[in-house]
Amino acid sequence: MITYFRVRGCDLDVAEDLAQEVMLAAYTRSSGLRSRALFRPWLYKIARNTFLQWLRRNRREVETVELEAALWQAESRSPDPLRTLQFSQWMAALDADERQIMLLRYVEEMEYHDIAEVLGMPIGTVQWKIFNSKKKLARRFGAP
Amino acid sequence: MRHGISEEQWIEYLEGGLVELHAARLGDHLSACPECAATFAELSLWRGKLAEEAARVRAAFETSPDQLERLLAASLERIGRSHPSWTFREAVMLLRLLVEPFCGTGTAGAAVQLAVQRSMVHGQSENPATWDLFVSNMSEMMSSVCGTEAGRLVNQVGVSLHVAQV
Repeated sequence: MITYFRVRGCDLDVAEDLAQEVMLAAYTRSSGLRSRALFRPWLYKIARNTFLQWLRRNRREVETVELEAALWQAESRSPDPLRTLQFSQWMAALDADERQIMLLRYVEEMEYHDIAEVLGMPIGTVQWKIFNSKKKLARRFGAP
Repeated sequence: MRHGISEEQWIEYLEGGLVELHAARLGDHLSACPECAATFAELSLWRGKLAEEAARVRAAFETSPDQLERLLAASLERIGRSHPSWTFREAVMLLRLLVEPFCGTGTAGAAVQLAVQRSMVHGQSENPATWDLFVSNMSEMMSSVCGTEAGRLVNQVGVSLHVAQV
């Protein structure tokens, strides 16, 4: 959960604070969970809402700048900084929707049906956007 | 539609989820069509590369055990402030949700059921003393099923919850 917020541009203190908010919300709203199998997407829905609320509170925009800033920051701890930057460049080439889906799929390692549940879109749309994102990356950057 | 294969079928083939029969047909086509094979190979390469790079990102943001410990303590304090008192059943449900990611729904349900049975011997009712016993049983079971860390987590969360007398 901390990684979820950090990858989206929050510094460690903010990420910890938001992760706590998610845990608190999950505990107090656990009766609203429709099915236990939906626990993970449900938790990420809470995380997504928490993040959007935080952005609104801080009057910041969900844009690439934050992701890039976060990945630059992560560079210092990464054994191979250039590669982290490469991921950031790839994500910057996608639009906000595609980036959101690719982060959930690859960084959070979520299944398609869980991504569909978190973002409230049909599973086919999720697959379609992932497919198109890869085509976009291939056109823009060639072979990885 | 390209070479009799729709883009949707390509998506499902590449992203997973295509039924076996169709997957076999696309596989045959790929082995006979260099153009589609090149496109498919490029997209598959991106799939692998993205997973690899994302793993590096995760590693760069990895949370240390100290950070996690601090986060858990702070979260429990916050939860305690907002929800000072729990019924026995609410608290059991919370622990069950907590352990499900470690051991799956079925095992978590069975462990909870067994821990409740062991804690309610001799007609005990749902009270703070029974709760302590339940936490101890649940923690012991989780330690043996999912490892000592899971057992410790159950204990840490369990003892932090204030279960009210019915």
